[in-house]
Amino acid sequence: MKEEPYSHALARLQKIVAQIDSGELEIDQLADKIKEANAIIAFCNDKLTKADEEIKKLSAEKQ
Amino acid sequence: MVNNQWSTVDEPKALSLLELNELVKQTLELGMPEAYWVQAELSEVRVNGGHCYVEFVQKDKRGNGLIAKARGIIWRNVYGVLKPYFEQTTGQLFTAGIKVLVEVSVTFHELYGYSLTVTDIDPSYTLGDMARKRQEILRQLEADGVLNLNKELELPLLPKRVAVISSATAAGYGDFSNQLANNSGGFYFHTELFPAIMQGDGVEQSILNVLGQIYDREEQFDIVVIIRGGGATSDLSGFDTYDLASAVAQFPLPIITGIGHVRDDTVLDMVSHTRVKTPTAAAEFLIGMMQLAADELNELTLRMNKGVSLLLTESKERLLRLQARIPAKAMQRVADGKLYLQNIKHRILQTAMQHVSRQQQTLPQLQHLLQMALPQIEKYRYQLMLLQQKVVDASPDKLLAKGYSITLKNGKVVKDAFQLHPGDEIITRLKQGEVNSIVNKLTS
Repeated sequence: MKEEPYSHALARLQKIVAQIDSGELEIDQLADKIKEANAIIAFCNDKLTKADEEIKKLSAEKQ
Repeated sequence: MVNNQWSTVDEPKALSLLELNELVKQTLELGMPEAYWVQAELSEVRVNGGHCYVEFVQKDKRGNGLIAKARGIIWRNVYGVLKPYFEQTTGQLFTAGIKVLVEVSVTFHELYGYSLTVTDIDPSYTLGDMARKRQEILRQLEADGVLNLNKELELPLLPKRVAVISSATAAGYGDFSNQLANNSGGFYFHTELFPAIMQGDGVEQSILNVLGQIYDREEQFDIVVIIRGGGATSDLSGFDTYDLASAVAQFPLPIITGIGHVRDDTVLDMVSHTRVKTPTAAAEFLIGMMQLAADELNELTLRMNKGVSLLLTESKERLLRLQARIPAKAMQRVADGKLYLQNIKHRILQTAMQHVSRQQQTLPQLQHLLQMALPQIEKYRYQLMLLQQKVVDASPDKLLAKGYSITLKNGKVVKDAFQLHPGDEIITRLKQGEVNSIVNKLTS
């Protein structure tokens, strides 16, 4: 299964932040959205600083 | 007949070849003593013992056949200065194939014949010619509709997987990949080197070759970097070809190039997506892209945290405000309730009073009616008394008092003696008391 593209995750995060800014979220929705946002942020940070699956495959092929 | 054709009067003078050549030489030196600036193309360049032996040619309009040719020589003392000057200025090796503007003096040597002695060169002509060639290539690419294709590609958000075209031996790639591996942002890069010839004759073919290899593995990379090592000026002419430029322009991944000198880009630098000066600059460019993404992520995180904090604070304040208003509201409700009760009580009283007064009004009326009815009542009472008297008079008590008695049989009054039979039980009611008897005898 293909990993989610960085740009896609980023777009999801932007949407959540826009929702928070606009104040359209209820308090109970807030907790879930924050959790989701934190997951996306961790995912993106990993993308920036770590080798992901596709690269690991590439390196393995090269051996 | 050897002799009779010759007259002893006029024998044409005969020169030796040496004398003829010397004549030519003198004529030339006298007739053309100056130096001339001449445009020509180098078709051969050979260095021997420090001296540079060249062949100049001029091709016909279509660039195929030769229409002029001359040998040339650049003596060691001149060549030692001319070559580095030319190459540094143009970034082009002094080699066959280029067009040059040189200052020459014509010489004719008895033995070696006609040649040009080069005393100076104007590199700007060559530059101009190179630029002209590049412009020609660019114009052709534009006509083909491919000139800006690579520039129009969107850069990847994360240029993590980098295909690098560079010389296997030069320092450039080593510096580049070190920089990426040890970047201060901690960003992860995966680089793969595709070695190619980066100077001299094989450039075009070699780079086309590796571009093809990368193309076959397009989905494994995010971006391509073409860099040359540092070092002395090298031959860049191999990069100014139409085929190479066309391949780079149409390549499906964005290509970053750091090939030519800043003041004088190669055609490749002109059609690639982004142009950098050095391998270091290329690494910095890639790191910068990752940093941009990291910055955007950080900003989003900050915005989110601020937004959440704000939301929570607002909610808390709203709650507190509501809380503060509750006692007031409650008091209000109680006061309202009290008021309501008071109103009801008042209304009850009022209604009751109304009711009573209404009744009070009807009482006199009733009294009046009663008053009117009194005479009637009196009349009825008198009639009743009369009837009562009649009843009293009709009662058997008077007769009984007179001594009469009533005879009853089975509760019924007996008026006829023949209703009775001897043995019947009869009751005789007197004024005082009753007598039970049994019939004895009947007499008529």
